[in-house]
Amino acid sequence: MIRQSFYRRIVFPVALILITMIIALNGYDVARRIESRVLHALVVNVSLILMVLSIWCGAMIANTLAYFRGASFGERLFVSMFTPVVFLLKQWLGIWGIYSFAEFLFLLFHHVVLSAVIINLIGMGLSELWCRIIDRVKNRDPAVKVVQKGNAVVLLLGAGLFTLMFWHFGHFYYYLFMEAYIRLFL
Amino acid sequence: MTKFRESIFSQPMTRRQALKTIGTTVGAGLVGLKFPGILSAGNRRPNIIFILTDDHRWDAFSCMDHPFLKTPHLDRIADEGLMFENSFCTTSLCSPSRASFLTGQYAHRHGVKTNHTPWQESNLTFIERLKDAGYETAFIGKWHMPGEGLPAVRGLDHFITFTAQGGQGVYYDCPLYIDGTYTERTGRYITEDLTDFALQWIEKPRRNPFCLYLSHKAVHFGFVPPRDLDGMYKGIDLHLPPEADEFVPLTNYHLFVGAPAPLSFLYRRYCETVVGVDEQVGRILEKLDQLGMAEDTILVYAGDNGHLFGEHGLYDKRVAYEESIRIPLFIRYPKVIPDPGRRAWQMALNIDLAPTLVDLAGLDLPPGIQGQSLVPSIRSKDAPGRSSWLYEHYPVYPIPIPGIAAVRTDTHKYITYQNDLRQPELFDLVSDPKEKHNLIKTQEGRDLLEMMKSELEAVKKQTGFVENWSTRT
Repeated sequence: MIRQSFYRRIVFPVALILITMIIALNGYDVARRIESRVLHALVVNVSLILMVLSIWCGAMIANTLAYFRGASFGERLFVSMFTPVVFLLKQWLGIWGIYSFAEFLFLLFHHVVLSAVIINLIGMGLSELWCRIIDRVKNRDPAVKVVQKGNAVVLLLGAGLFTLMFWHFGHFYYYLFMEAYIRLFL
Repeated sequence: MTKFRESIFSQPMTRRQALKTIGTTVGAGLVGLKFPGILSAGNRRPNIIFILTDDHRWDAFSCMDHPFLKTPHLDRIADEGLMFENSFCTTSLCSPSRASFLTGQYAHRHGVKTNHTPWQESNLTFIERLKDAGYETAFIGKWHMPGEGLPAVRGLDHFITFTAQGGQGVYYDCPLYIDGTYTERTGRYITEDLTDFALQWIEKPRRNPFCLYLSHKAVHFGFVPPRDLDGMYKGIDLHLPPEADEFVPLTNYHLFVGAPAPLSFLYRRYCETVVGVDEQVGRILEKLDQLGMAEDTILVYAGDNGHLFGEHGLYDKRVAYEESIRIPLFIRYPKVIPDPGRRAWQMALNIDLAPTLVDLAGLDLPPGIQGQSLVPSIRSKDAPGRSSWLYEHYPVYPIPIPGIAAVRTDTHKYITYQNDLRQPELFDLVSDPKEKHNLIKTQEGRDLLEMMKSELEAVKKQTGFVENWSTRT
């Protein structure tokens, strides 16, 4: 794979997903103030599609772009996780000032705060798989392994955390989290 | 009469007869002290049934002109009794509001500030007051106030509750603690199951009046209707508010609330679950009719708090907007209500329930109650009502809604937030009942602000509210 410029392999994929997320989140909130029901529905639905693509599927897109532009695994991990981490910070900082600093820190273990990162770990892992399959088939290069160590770790970590935090619709982990919270803080 | 009096008092009494008479009189007096209800059979105190549902909006009834919901049995309570159409909870959250119903106190007084802060066993409930007066008492259903194990609630003869899902319970197969004994309830639907126990309690032969506190899980999330009603409103126009969209529960801070489904799905299921409650309330009304108890029984129906379904682009409760703080409150007591079917205009609060029931039972109010008896408003449509009241909400970890202190008057609402984390809000409820136009930065708002600030300070002072948002116990 030809290693393209820093801008093309890193800045562009990051900016594409991040800007899409910013537009989607703001578009959705602005939509509520639109009085025309048709326009309201249109803006809401477009915003929602963009939200899903950027927040929940962003890593798949960003990683695919970065992979075929020659980004290293570390770079791809950065590109994939940038927007989810920004979303995590948005969720996390949303409680700033309401609770004590220790409670604020403890929220980093909450599954909703971590959700975008976890789902995008899975997304990146899956995207790595199809990028490598395409790479291997297109370039007829048997040296390209479909499953690589870093990729496997990302996928397993994402799947493991997802299972722990969202098993039984997240109830199991939620009560675990709250039990710990009550014991620590109340 | 004269002849009878002569026959009694003209006869000489032996020493044995005299001692027997004195003994009987003293004995009866002592029994009367311990069980006053037994001795007031001629003027027997009324039975009391309080039915509390969860998250039942004030407008989710056919008698409130809901566009499609049919709730004939609940309507009947309002038609044959009284509907307080301006009823509110002082904290829009399950546990604090439940504790307020029981104690007649604000959350900052009874201490159950959120769903995570424990019930204090020193709290005095209206049930305990009624028990002391000779009532037979039962609590059946959702307790949902944290603490170690089952709570030791004073004054209860019969206690059925559940602890599943942190005390929220589940709609099907919800295990119950029946007087402390864990019991599987496989195949049972919770609203029907609790109603069955309530009916058993009602029809139990007894000499004393009873107080039944029937506290449903319904219609709390996950909105599971009974199987025969599941889907009854499929395809119907749900009349969701114009500012709502399907994705409200899946966006913004609602992700923390944990109802990951489209809004119309949730609201349809909610309405179907309400119908399930209505059917079960109908069974209770039918039983009272069968037993000829309807005239002697005070029946109260209330919800613990409201619920937003897309209004203001929000889902859930907690906030101080009308859809969140308004609750249904119907009281049926034919002996006292002179004009059944009336809609009382006075502002009633959840903290008014305890003093009202104690008052209707003819008892003195226990100390520490912050609510007011609604009996004057029940008896007369012209009775004066309160002019303003305090709304309080404590932050519920990890939901990013700051603490709220607000004052609501007949015409306005002023909302302030913890540490000014959000801009204060001021609404004219007469011209803007849906609270869409925050007046705080307008000339009208500036003109009103000082008055509303003073009103807020006054209700804070009156209730002993001190701004301390910590929920640490």
